[in-house]
Amino acid sequence: MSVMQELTKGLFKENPTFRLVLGMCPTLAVTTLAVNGLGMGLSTAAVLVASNLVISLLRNLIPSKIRIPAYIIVIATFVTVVDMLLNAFQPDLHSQLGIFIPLIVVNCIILGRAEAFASKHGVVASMADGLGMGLGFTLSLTVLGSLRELVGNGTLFGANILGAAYEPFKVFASPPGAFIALGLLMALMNLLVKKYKLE
Amino acid sequence: MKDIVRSGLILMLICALSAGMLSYTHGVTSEIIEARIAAEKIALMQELFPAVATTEDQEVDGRSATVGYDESGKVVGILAEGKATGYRGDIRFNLAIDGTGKLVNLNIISHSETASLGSRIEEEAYRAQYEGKTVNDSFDVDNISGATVTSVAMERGVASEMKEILLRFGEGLVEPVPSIDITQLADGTYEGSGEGLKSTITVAVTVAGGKITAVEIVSGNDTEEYYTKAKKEVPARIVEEQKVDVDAASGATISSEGIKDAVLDALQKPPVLKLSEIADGTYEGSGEGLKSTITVEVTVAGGKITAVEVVSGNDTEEYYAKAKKEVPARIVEEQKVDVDAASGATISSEGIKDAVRNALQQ
Amino acid sequence: MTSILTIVFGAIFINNFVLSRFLGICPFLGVSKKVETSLGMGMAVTFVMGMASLVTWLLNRYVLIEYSLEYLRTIVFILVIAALVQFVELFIRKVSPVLYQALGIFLPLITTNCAVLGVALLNIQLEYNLLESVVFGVAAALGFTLALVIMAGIRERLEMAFIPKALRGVPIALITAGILSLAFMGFQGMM
Repeated sequence: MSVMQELTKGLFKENPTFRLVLGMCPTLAVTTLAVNGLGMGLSTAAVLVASNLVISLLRNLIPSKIRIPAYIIVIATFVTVVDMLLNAFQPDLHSQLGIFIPLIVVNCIILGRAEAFASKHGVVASMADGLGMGLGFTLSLTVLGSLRELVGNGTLFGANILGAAYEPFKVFASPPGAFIALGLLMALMNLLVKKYKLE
Repeated sequence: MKDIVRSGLILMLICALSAGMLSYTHGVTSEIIEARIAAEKIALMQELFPAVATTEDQEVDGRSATVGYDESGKVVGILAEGKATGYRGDIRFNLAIDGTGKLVNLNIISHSETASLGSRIEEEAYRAQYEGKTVNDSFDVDNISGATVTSVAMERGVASEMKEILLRFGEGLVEPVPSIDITQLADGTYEGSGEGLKSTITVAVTVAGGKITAVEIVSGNDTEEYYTKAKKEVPARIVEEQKVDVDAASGATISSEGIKDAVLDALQKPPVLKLSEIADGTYEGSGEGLKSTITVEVTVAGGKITAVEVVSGNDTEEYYAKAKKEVPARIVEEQKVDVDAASGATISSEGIKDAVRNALQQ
Repeated sequence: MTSILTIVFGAIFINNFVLSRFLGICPFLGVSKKVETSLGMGMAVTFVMGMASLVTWLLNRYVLIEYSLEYLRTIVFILVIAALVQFVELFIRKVSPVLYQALGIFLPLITTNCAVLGVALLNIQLEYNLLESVVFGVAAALGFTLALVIMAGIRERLEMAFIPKALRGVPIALITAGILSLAFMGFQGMM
């Protein structure tokens, strides 16, 4: 696959959230506001690119037997770095995302891509793969977050869109709404893929 | 074997790289993070105490507080957590006290009180009653109707926590209560009183050989079911543990605290003398006057003080003469030591009284 | 005693790890197709979470805080969990090869179960002592198991029902989870 294809596959065809069903926990938890979804997506993307890069670089050095612990150390390092940087430079986002920042380390997407791709491909391709998956993840989180914020709160990225008269569907801002919104979006994705024969 | 060594070395290499990257990032970001947290703290303190320029977190004697200083380094505000035992559990609150010892703000952190009754302590109107109070003021604010226990617990709790906080962080705004060494107490019976839930409770504490031998509830009128429990458990615990600060009877906290306060009050005063138990004879004793030691001779016959003679002493003549004339006469007339002092000659009078007490305690 | 009970009920019903805190969703969606495997998974997770709570709390208190190394918390915790899971894997393989086969790939995947790392981090955030942490870890896992088993029960029946093609598989599972989550919200008034 060309680098361009690596980049774009994560956006739609192999979207981690809607197609691969990976990384569900943060998807449901942080998407109460669109800006949180965006922030979490970008943070995860950063870790993805960085860890794919390093693991691809070291892929011939790491013996197969210890690859999982090795990958975990690399991923956890970058997650901690992102955690510290967010705490220093984006304290509001940091406190909104809370415990889900360190939980990026167990986001199956990252370990999954390291195992399935970065350990077997060159540096540039791995970075592209990481970036593509990361951007796809960011896209789905932002879409879900926007939907939940709009319907459940009447705002979008903090701006009041639906006006004062709109009575928000508070359920969408709460846990049940997260499940239902994601389920509906996923069904929609399935329909679109079938209709436009993207499979 | 070679594989394991190789694997181990590679893992260690990765760990080392990881550690390096982390400590570097940590070094860069931690300063920024700490600066931000400090600024947030100052902003918070400034909201409560506008003169704050710097803050410091301190921990003294098991309590922590954030102390705010103005530009000259003077304490202008203290923010600390306090706790009171409410009706259904602990009530945690934040007290903001300014540099003159005045309560600026009371904020409830958490509680388990009954909804729409005890939980009304959260209301702005209730909490505002405490603002402006110092430790010397009465904390008797309007109770929440239907939530007497919660209300009383809050009044007592806020008052005592405020005192505890100022003792530790208030740089001399409050004087510590002298601690009582029971083993040093003179034998005798001590009387004192404390506030229960609905009434004043008086107790009589008997001390012998440096130990509390009995605690008797003399009077008091709290709600029967709690009061009985407190009356039964607290005195027994005090005698058993030989200390005043024992556990309260569960479910009867405020009555228990009232009894404990009464005992504490009793032991801080000199013992009550039972004249009927003193053998006939003449006793000599001394006490401190204003400028000199005053010695007296006290004659007891048939369980009564028949004479008090001031034998020596050298206080300022005008006061001393007055005290010498009035106090012994009063003692004989009222048959007790703790009589009114001669007006204008308090210290000489107290000196004479101490001397008489000293004489009779032998 | 009441505070321990509060923690237990809180973790299982009021703030169920899966249905309220969104921790453990991947295995929740992946394993909950049959009730037996759900139970087996639940038991394995309960053991791991209990032990993880214990070990991570001790490490946090006596190493990380002691030497001011709190920023290493994420790395240390996840490595401990990975090691624990390896251990449990070997254990189950020896004790019940049938269960080992049934759980398959999902056993090593307990490492990436956000619930395990999540509970370890929550113990620190909620400032629990050692006993409270272990109780919380076990109770959270029990809540996870409960959600898993209920889901499996429902999904076994959904297999027989007619579901529109677009909704089949994960979407309908998510919507079901949403309704379950709504039901569990009713427990809020329990305390």
